[in-house]
Amino acid sequence: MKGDNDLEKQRGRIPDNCVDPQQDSRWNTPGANDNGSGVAALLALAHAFKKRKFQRTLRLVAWVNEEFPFYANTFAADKRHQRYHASGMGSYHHALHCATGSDNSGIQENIVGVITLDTMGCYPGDGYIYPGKSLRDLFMKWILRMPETGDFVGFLSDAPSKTFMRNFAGHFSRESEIDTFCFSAPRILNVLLKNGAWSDDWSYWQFGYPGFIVTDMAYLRSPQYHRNDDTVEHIDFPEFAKVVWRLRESVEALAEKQI
Amino acid sequence: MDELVWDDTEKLEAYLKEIVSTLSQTPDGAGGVRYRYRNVWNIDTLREVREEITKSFSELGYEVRSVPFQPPLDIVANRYRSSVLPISWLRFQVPRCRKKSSLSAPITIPGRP
Repeated sequence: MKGDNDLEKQRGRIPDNCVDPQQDSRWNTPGANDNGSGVAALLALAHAFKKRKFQRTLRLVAWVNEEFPFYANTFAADKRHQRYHASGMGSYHHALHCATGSDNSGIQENIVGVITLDTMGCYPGDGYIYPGKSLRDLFMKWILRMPETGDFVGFLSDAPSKTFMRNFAGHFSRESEIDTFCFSAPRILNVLLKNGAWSDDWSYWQFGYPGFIVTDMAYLRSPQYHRNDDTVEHIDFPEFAKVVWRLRESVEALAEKQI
Repeated sequence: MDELVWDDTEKLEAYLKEIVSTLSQTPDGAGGVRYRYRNVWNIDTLREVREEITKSFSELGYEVRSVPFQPPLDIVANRYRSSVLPISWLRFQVPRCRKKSSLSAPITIPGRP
């Protein structure tokens, strides 16, 4: 069994930005929202940027193996075990690759930041409150203090990535009808939960690269999350398209050094 | 369709729907669809989807690079100690089980003590 990451590069000057979704799905789920939606957003951005030259290099990357058993096991008790489990994740390999130099030169690549697109298609609207399925959901809702609506886009990061995420989310929400919700996990949360990340951005944090996830809040919003009815019928495409439209403008601004 | 994706949000919406549909389901040959489970236990489907993504980028004129790596197989195997055994894993494990049982069984040669 081999894993493969696909990297597509829009050339510009360094430093780089990466936009990445995972391409796999949870076992026994069709994964339309998690994470067909992220890949669809990536391909739509690829259409938008295909003839563009930016001041910064933009990499569009599709990872493998973000789902269980690789990612979930990064909650392991110690760093050594975390790294061992993460070595099955495509994003971890890419982050390692960047940290050691693409050409094995040992020179760390200068990556401004990583934007992870994960589970982006569920927007049931104002007044919708998904109660969650477990105590973990309730705990996470309490920690996040997220709005009691179902129409916003979440931007989540760790503490060192806070500035990068806030700047990007600030641009995203400016003159936009889409509501945003930002949360940077304090360090203590990473210690308590072993892992404060939701997705591939975790891999980059391990090598000192800032990163955040753009999401519809996944299991805190969607009843279909990681279930076998995560199908195309449950995605709100009109809202999803608006989010991707705005995302394009913000990624463009980032690549042009306006953020 | 390529040039029309970003004309307006309705066209973008149609494009996103097409991609999500392609990634999550495929024709079953009888006029219906079957779901695509693309993960480490359905490695052929995952590979198939990966090739489609790669092809899409190539058609758009991007320089595409694939970075192969080998995930630790025991992590995948551990998943099934407490869960349902999928066919793909059985296929992988059965030869190992046979080898183990043949080694543990005593070897006797007829006519010799």
